[in-house]
Amino acid sequence: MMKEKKCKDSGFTIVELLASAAMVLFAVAALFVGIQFTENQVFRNYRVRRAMLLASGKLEYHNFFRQMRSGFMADPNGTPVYGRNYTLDKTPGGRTIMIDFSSDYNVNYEYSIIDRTYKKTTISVVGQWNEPSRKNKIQKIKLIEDYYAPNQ
Amino acid sequence: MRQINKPKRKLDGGFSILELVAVLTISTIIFAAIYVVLSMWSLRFQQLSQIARLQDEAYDCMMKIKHGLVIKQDNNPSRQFLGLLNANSLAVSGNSVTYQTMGGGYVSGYTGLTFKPPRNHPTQSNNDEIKISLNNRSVMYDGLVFGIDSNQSRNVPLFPDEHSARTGKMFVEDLVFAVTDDIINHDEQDLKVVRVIIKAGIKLSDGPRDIFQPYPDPYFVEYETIIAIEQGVQ
Repeated sequence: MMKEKKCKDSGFTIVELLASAAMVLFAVAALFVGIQFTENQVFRNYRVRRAMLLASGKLEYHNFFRQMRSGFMADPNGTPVYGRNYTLDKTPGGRTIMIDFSSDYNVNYEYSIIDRTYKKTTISVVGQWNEPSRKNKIQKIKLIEDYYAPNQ
Repeated sequence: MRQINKPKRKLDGGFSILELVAVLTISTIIFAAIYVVLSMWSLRFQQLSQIARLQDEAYDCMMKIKHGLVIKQDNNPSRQFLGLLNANSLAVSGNSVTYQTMGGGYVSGYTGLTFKPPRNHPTQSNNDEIKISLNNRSVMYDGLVFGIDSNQSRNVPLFPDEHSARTGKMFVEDLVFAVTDDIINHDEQDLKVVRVIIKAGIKLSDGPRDIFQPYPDPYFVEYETIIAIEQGVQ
């Protein structure tokens, strides 16, 4: 007599089914979150780089003005090239993101090296904007540059 | 004994045609939806990679314009690093253009800039001169260094690279060197400070526009800064 082959035909339990569905959902969610994160990073990096270039341009302009005129501009925020508010980016969705700049000067005479006193000038430029990838929280960059010149 | 031989379940009758059609329809819909979603995500990911590459290379180009390229002679270990920051003098060249910025403002400027590098090294010559210009939708770096033509400084494509430029995939839409302030820049041929704007684009798809196209095609980035030369004001 042939021995009957044992066959398990009880199917899956609901727990097994839920576990496998959860794993598939987790994998799909991970893919989605990964792409979303990448997109946010790419567009945020672009805004940060653009803001850094704009801010470094302001720094250069302030220092240049100081050297040419032997003094700072009366209003640190009065850069004539691009003003306090400037368009930082336009999102693929069509939203315009503005950056708000503020500049400041600080002059110290504290630095003495050997027998000379050096005038240290600090120029700082702060740029801030509402970052869409961070739920419109304020994103800030700050560039500071120190310049040293012998105190006459 | 009779009970043992009796089949437990009567589920071996297969499926009816109605059940089969229903299952096939639902499966097709589910697999089609999965395919569409994964295709969209894959497309988004590929295009994000291209956009990130465009951003990197355009930013790198801006940095090279500002800080320069390392150039050396063929049989000489001396190197020059010639960018706008360490230039002795600047002069605009090329075509006059009016550029509309991302914010809608208008900037007048030129598509090229010529500058004289500093003469602070014995190998540098009075004839040394670098020109950065927009040529055939590429930013070119063309110069005379060490007083002679050097393969490393003649018509060097700064951005995009030769392959991308040849295929037309990545391109420079605008390059503007603008005089920033009339009060400081008395003479356009002897500038001290210049505003630089570069607008570059990338074609995201080769064929017709995809219906799932997530980003504008071509996609553009715009970088802008001000560069002042240090030598000119001493």
